[in-house]
Formats: sequence, structure tokens, C-alpha cells
Amino acid sequence: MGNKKHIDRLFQEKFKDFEAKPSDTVWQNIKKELNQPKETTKPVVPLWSKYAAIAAVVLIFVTVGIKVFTNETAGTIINNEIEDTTRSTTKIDSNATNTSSSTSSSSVKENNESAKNASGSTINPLVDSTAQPITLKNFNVTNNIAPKTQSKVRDSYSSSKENKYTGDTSKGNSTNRSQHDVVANTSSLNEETKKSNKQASPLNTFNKPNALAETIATKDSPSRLQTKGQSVTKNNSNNVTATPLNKNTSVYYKPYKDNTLSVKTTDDLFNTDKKLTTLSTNNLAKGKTINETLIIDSSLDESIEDAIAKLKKLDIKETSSHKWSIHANVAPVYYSSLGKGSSIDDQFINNDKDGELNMSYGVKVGYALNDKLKLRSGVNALKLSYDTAGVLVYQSVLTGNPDIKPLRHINMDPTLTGESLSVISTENFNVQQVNNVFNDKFNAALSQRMRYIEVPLELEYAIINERFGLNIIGGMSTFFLSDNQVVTEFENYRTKIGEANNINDVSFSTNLGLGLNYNFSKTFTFNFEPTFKYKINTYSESSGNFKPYIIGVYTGFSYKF
Amino acid sequence: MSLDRLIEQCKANNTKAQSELYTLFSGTLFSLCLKYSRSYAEAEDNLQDAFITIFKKIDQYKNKGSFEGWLKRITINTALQRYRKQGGVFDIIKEEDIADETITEDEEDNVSLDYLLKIIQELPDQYRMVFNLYVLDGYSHQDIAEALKINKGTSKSNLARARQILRTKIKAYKTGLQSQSL
Repeated sequence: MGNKKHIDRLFQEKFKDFEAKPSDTVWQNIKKELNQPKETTKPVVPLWSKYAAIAAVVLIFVTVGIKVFTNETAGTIINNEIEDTTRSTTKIDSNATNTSSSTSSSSVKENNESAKNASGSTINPLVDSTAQPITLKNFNVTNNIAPKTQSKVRDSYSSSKENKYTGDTSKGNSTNRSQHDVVANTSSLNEETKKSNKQASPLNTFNKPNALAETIATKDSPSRLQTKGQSVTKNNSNNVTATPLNKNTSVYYKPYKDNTLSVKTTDDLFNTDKKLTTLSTNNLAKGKTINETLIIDSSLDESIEDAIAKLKKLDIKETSSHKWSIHANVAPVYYSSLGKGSSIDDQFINNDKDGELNMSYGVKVGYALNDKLKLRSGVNALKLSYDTAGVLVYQSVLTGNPDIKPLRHINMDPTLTGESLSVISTENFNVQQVNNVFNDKFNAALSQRMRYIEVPLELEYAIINERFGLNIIGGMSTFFLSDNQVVTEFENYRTKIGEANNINDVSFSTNLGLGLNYNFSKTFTFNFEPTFKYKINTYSESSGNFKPYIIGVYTGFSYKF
Repeated sequence: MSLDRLIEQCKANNTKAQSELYTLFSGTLFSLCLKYSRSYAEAEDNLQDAFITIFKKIDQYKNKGSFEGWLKRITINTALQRYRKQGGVFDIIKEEDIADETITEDEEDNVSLDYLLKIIQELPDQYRMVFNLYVLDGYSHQDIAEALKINKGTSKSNLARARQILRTKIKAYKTGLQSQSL
């Protein structure tokens, strides 16, 4: 082992005194970020304003509800659409997210316009960036670009961000000059738009999410370096070459060894620009520490990374500003039992029983813990009813009949007991008796009815979080009994015969649901949530194996704020 | 200016002090970033984020323990956070019988630092993190498991895989050199 060395040792020794000097841009960026902390820190929202917001939203819901029912939906829908468009604009051009939404789209157009004027050539004023090869831009950038020029270049890029540039080899050097002129023009014409550009400039590099995805894909791809190597033309003379790739491309250039430039197509634009001089000086300053290829290659990464990082920061801000949501929902609920049993009396264990459809309605408030998880709670009013068929209700003549016992779980209505009302199950008679003594007309149903106030506490996990969303919902509900009665139903006559004595005032359920959402806009969502609730201690005691459950299809709207 | 005084001034948001602190430590921290990143550019971004965090949280530094250690921890954390955000799918490889990770003396002689850095950066994210944390920054597998939210076994097998990849590449490098010189 004497002449052998563990691989760890090799790395440890080599990296022991390893130091590398980052480019000056890093410090510039840090300084910039530190100097504007007020813009980046989120304003503290007082607690009461959240409650106020909830109240306001409830008000909005009521208003919207009234409008919907009076068939005046048009206004609302149009509003949503407008909001929607704003959002899609935001996606296309992240600029909109930094400026206020009302002005964003116009500023985009403005930018576009000015860029068009400035370059004086065939820029297509498309707001959506469906890759159009538009102008020809070639750059001859040398090491001694003054910082001022740089910033101008940058401005012109950000202003013309909607457009896609494709370099063209055929034109060569001849246009270099004119490009600089264009740059100057653009910046002077863009006085107004500059402000917004400055704010949004880091984001301008990505015209649409696809571009981002592509960039990431490129970045992650192991063959990245290789591809890069292919597309970058290595020049040793003072030439400028451009390699047009496919759509979604823009001009990109990088310093190469002896001040030579290669133009490369890529999604990114100005960030690279920013790096130009610093990178070149780096080449000189850094010397041996990092080999040149590494620096050059990384100039691409830096710009992309930079933009991604900033975009991500923005994303985080965006989501964090919509942590709260309010839901209004209505649901048909079906109440039934899993096991065979009766909540009323032992004699009804084998009777046919039927759950009935009732309604539940309520509001919920949700709080997004993160992108995926949302905690929500609220209040729902619901009615449940459950029928037991094959019941005979009669006034007993023979009060002393030992066969007739009071129902185990029902307290008879005191107003009725005087009439010595009795209820027995026809299941207990044999067939002959039933046929002979009672015909079907006497077959009544016993219906147990309950009203509850339900307070759910649920966790929503987003599986898909796009325009169409898919969630899994799990949690529990606490039910507070507000009304409880047992009625007989016989040929459309309903008579209250008493109330159950075995229903707990407070009961619980475990909930499991599947949520399907459709986002009309960033804040307004339609929800459809089939939910299964297994009730835990509805009854203090029941006969047989009575395991009630509720199935509800909760439908409604939610509003994020 | 003493370091303590510099820190005090940084806490007071003194731009000059911040600049000085940056000049003082950017070299060390950037080398750290380079190791933990996929590329030079990512490293620069990482450094930038790390320094912003440092300056924003410098008042949380209570002169306990080495300041440089504190800076390094923030920098490494920034790198790990970036990696976590980017996510990544990694095949979990069972601990295999991997040949002893040694290389002969002459193999390593020619290997440049640049090349070593390059092959570290080329490692899959999680391997790179584990290798750096364990080999170059002296974290234990337990620490790594906690930091990366993986289990200890995964950390160990990742390290083994990383070593294997690196060794293969060092060998390839050497062969490349030989064929060049011929």
C-alpha cells in the first residue's frame, strides 16, 4: 500500500489550500440586493386585516351568489376572464408580476413597441412569444466595453425581451456598428419603460414557462457540455459567428480566449451581457486557478441560474401571498351504515334500511402551509336521515301485552305516549301472520333524522397543482348535534314519535376525500370533492353492528387571498 | 481592522465593512461553492446568495465559535438548499462490493486541481453533496443524513458510488494524458 493512496486523501490534499476568486459581478449583485432590502421584504400584514379580508370575501360570495341566482353572471365571468388573461400575461412575461397587474400588460406592449421602433427593422410585435425569428443582431464586444455601454445594452435587451433574435452568419461584421446604434437608440427611447424594466429585469430573460423548462432541461442534461461545445464555434480570428439553432432562440455571445467572440443561440440574453467584461477580465486575473473553458462554459450557466433563482424567489413570493383561502360549498350527503344493525331497537336489526340524500352546506377557511399542503377548517350545517322499513305502528289495545316493549333507543314523544303508541318490526312476524293480519298498507317506515353542525379539520395534499388540480383530503370532523327526532312515514303522513336517546351530542368522523379543482384564475377556484366520512361515536349504544358513514359530494368555489 | 470590529460594523450595515468582509472571505467561500455546485456559474450564484444571507443574519452571530466556520456553514447550507429546491431523482444503490478506493501514487501526480474540481462538479447532485460533506468538510454520515434528509445507509452508499465514479474518471484522465503524449 506504500505507493497507493486513498482517493479521499488525494482530494483532501489537493483541496486543502484551494481558493478561487469569484467574478466582480457577484459583489455587485450582493451590493445591489443589500441596498434595496425594503423592496424585497414583505410588508407586515396586521392580523385584523386578515379577518377583514375574510369578511370581505364572504361579502363577495354573497354578492356573487345573488348575481348568479338572478342570472346576471356575465359581469363576473368577464371579470374572471380579465383576471385570467392577466395571469397568462404574467406567465408569458414575468414582468407583469413585479409591476401592478393593471398596468403590466400595457407596459409589455410599450416595451414591445419601443423595441420595434428602436431597432427599426422587422420586429414582430407579438406579445406572446411564439418564437419568431425577427431581427438580426450581431455584436462585436471587446474587453474594453465601458460599464455604461453595458447597462445600455442591458436595457435595450430587457425592453425588447418579447422578441426573439436569431443571429445570422451571412451578415458578418458589417452590422456590428449598427447594433451599437440600435442599442443607444433603444435606451434613449425607453426612458419610460426603463423603470419597470429595472424592477423586472432579472425576470425578463424568460418569456414563458416553457423557456424556463427548456433551460432547465438543457442545464440538467448530462450532454450539456458536449452540445455547447458543438454549437459554439471556436474562432481564433476576430470574427463574429452566429449559430442559429431552432425557435426559442436569441443571441448569445461569449468571450473566447483571444478576445474572439462566438455568437450562440440561447434563451438567455442580457445576463450574459452583464458578464462580458468581467468574464474577460477574469480570464486574465484568474490565471491558473480555473481553466478557461470552465469560465466560458459557466458564463452560460450563470445567467441561466441567475434567472432561475430569481424566478424561483418570485414564485415563492407569489405563492406566499396567497396563503389563505375561503371556500363555500354545498353537498348532497348520503347517510348509511356499513354493518347490519339498528340504531333504534334490537328488533330492527334485520329490517331493510335506507340512507337518504340530504344537504350539507357551509364555509371553510384554508391556510396553505406550503405549495402542497393546505390546512382547512370551517363550519357546515348538515341534515342526515336514515329509514328503517318494515315497521308497524299502531295503538296498542292491550297495554299489558308482554310482546310489546318500548323501543330501546327511543324516548317516545310524551304527547303520544298517552295513546300508547307501539312500533314493532314486521320482520318479527312470520309470513302467514303478515299476510293475514297486516297487509302491505300497514307497512310504515321509521325515519331517524338528525341535524348537525359539523366542524371539519382537514389537510389537503395537492397531487396536481395546475389549472386542473387534484388533491387528496384527509382529516376529521367534529359533529355537534342540533336536532334529533324519529318520525314514522306512512303513506305520506309523517308523525314524530319521539327522539333517540342514544345519539351523542358530540361525535366525530374520519374523513377521506378526493378533490378536483379548476382554477378560473389565480385566486378563484371551482372545487368538487367527493368525500367519505366514517362516523366514530355517533351512538352511545346501538343494536347489532351499526356503523354509520356519510358520503358527500362537496361542490363549491374557493377564493384565495 | 480586527475581525471583531469588522463584524460589528457589518452588523451596523456599513457598506465598506461589508465589502471588506467580502474581500476577506469570498475566496475561501467561493472555493467551497465551486465544490458544491455543478458549475462555475452556479457557484457564483451560490456565493451571492450565501453572502446575502450572511449579511442579513450577521447579527445572529454571537461570537461563539469561529466566524469562518459560521460563514462556511451558511455557504454549505445555501448550496444544500439550492440542491433541495432543484430536487433530483437518484437511484438508491445498495452497498456493493466496491474495489478499494485507492489509486497509485503516479496516477495522482498528473491530476490537476481543475480536473478534480471538474469531476466533482460532474457528479450527480446527491453524490456530490455527500462526497463534499464527508470527505472535504468532515461531516459524519449522521450529519449528512440529517442535512439531506436521507438515511445513513444511503449516505454511505452514495459516498461509495461517488468515490467509484471519481476514481474511474481519474484513471480515464491518466490514460487520456498518455495517449496525448504518445
